[in-house]
Amino acid sequence: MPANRNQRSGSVYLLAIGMLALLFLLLFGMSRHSSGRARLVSLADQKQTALFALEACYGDMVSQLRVQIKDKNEMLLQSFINATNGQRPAFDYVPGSTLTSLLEEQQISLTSHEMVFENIEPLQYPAIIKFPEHRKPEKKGLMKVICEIVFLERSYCLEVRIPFKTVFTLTPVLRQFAFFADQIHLEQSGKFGISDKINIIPIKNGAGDDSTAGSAGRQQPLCLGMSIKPHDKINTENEKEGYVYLGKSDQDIVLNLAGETQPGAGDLSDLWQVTPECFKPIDVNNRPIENMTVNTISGTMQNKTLSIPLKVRNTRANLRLVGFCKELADQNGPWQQDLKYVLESDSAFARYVAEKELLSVSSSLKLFGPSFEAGAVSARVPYPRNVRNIFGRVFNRFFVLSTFDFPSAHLYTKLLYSNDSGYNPPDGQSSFGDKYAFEIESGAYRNYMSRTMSGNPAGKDFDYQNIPANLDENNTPKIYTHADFKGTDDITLNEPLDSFAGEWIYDLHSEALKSDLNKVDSSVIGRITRVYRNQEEFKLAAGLDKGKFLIDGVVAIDGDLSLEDLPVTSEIRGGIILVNGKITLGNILRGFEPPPVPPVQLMLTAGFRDYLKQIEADSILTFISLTGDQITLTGHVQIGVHLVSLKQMGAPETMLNYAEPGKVILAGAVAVSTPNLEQLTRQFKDELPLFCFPPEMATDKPPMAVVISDSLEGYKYVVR
Amino acid sequence: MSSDKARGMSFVEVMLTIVVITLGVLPLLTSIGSTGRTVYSMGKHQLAALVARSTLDRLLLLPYEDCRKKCLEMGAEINVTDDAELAELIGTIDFEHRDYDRMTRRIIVKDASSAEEQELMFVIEVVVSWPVPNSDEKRDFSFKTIKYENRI
Repeated sequence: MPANRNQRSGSVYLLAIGMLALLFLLLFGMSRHSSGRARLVSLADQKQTALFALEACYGDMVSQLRVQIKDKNEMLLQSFINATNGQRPAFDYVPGSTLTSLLEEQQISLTSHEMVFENIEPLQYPAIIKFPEHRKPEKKGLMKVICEIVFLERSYCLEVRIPFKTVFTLTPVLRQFAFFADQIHLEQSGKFGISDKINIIPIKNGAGDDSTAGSAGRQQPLCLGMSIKPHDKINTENEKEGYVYLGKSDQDIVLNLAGETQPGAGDLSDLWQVTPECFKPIDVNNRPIENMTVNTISGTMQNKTLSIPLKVRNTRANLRLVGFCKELADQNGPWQQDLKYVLESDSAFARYVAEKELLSVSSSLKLFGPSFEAGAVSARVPYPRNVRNIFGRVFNRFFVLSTFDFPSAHLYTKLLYSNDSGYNPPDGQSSFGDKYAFEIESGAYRNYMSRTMSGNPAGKDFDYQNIPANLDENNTPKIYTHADFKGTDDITLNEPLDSFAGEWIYDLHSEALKSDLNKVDSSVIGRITRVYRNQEEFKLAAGLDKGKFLIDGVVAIDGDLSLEDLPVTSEIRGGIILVNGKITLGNILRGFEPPPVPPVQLMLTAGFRDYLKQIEADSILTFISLTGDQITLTGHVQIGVHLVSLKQMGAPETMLNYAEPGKVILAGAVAVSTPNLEQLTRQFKDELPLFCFPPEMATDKPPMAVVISDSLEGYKYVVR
Repeated sequence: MSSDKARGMSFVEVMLTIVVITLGVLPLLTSIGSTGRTVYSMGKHQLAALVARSTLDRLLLLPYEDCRKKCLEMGAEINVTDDAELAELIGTIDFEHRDYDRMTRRIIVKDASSAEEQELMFVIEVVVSWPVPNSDEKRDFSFKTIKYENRI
């Protein structure tokens, strides 16, 4: 029996030991589970801590890059502009002190870092633009940033891919134009009379004509600035004056340029710029332009005269220019009388006499600025040259008459228009009956011939001649088309200028973009570096609340944009602002304080000309309405702006609007399909406005922004 | 004889068994209690990490100025359930409210170390605290990182 008892007690022990073993196993399991979980939790925390540290690391690298880009570290910028796959930006990264402190506090070591370019592609251009091969194209690509740290003896690595773009901050092609109106033909459905909404400025004695203003008030033409280049640069560096395009490319635009009863009588004369030099630049130092009074049988006549030595010994001939405008419509005025004397047999002159009221209003576009001779300056200013290239089929109808007379002869030879390059006018004759052949030292007759309504070689009602600024290689007037366009960046065009907007500018929500991604890549849309959902977001990002206006690239706003006056001393960094809607702008002064003189007189002051020259290309603000909506200016002064609203349309619209009359000064450029000159000229009201072109807009090194995106395209986090 | 055979364990055996079991079970019970506290603590820790991370992520998504403003606004210590955005998040994750009971959160903004960097960045630290049960002690958990100004 003791053996049985021992056996039973043994079983109890065994049971107890078994239970204990089970309990220990359970304890061990629980312990393992909880410690494993603790380790996992701990690892997860470490991983997250490391990730925040790594994000701070790459953030620090990108932040330093952005600072150096802002500071225009040329070597760094060039490394982005010239980026190729596998290259590194020219940038030596040293962790900043804040990051270093953060890492030290958490006992984290930054063990390696690297930046490499990837997926670099040039941005495409639309078919109209031929981008020169030797120029660096705009680009898009990725910057791969790799950071590696060690935290609690474990290695963590973050690899991100940040998109970037290098984009021009001025609009190609358009930036070359001080004034670009690709549908302005719609404002001149008829070439004269009430259908002509371009030639609408009544002037008299060189000033706006109050007597004809009517209830709508006075009008002032849209006046581009005068030449600011040195006097000896005849037809050179014309690009610095800003080109003009008056489209459509297959439509004639006719401008009535104005004359004056007395030279220098007012601002609005156009004859000041139509000197004989325009037809044939010759040695003007020896052949000064003069304002001369010519005695005629019926009285005297004022005109601009170039005295040309003839081959006949000791004789000179005078090449004279006169013109028609409102004041000449006076049947009893002295010019009318004199012109009658000269031109009474001319059929075109007869037409002018018959329809003088229709033809005597002046152009609302003053493409070469107001007259230097106007009261602004007392001293005689040398005539500036015709320096602004006019693109499009733009013709003058200022009825310029060249007459060629021989001294003391009291006889005039009308220099009639002739297509015949070998044509010479009939001999002149002195009062003694001596005959003089039309011989000049240089050039051909066609350089001097009259651009009047005479001749009519094209079989049209009028003989429209292009503005004499445009000269071909033989110094002969010509029509500038897209084929003559060559940007200072060497861009050339394959299609007419009025095709540009259709290929470059799209509504953000355009169906055309959705159906053809190539249109995205090859248009301004493909250049966008940041998109804002509304103007509030944009204003915040631009730093308006801090008195700044920083664009740096091509930004888009999905909606209207309305900007109050920018603070006078705003820090402004230029770029292109694409607005999917209407644009309203206040004053943008950039520290400029408009003096209390008429705006156009500013161009006569060296101070303003110097100011204009120092407006840097990368500070220009380009506002583009992608929808071709109206641009309204609530302020009168905008310095360093390019306003663009272009679209195809069937009837003219008001695309540029000044909310209140005032002294308008715009230093920049305007590109609107139709400005609605009839309304605009009334908005200028009492003051001749000044639209002047900062020469740096035509720089041969257009500014390129390097923009690193705020978003990421790749993110890889590895724990080793 | 059969009653002899059916005799139970001796007193010594019973006592020995109780001692053995007590020696085994007591540490086990202690250990279970400790594990329970650890699990509780880990749970709180995990929740705190979630709160800290989601708060920090939310702040980092804001534009620089907004972020700084928001950090300063949210700086004071509050119960995490008083944070409306976080409460909404908690709702979606299906945590019970009591999980966050007495859990607090505060945000510390620290300026950059150097004057040059002060315009460009600041340090954000999100600290989440919760009380240790049956104690006056509190546990803290935090994440910190740097917010950078993108518009330079």
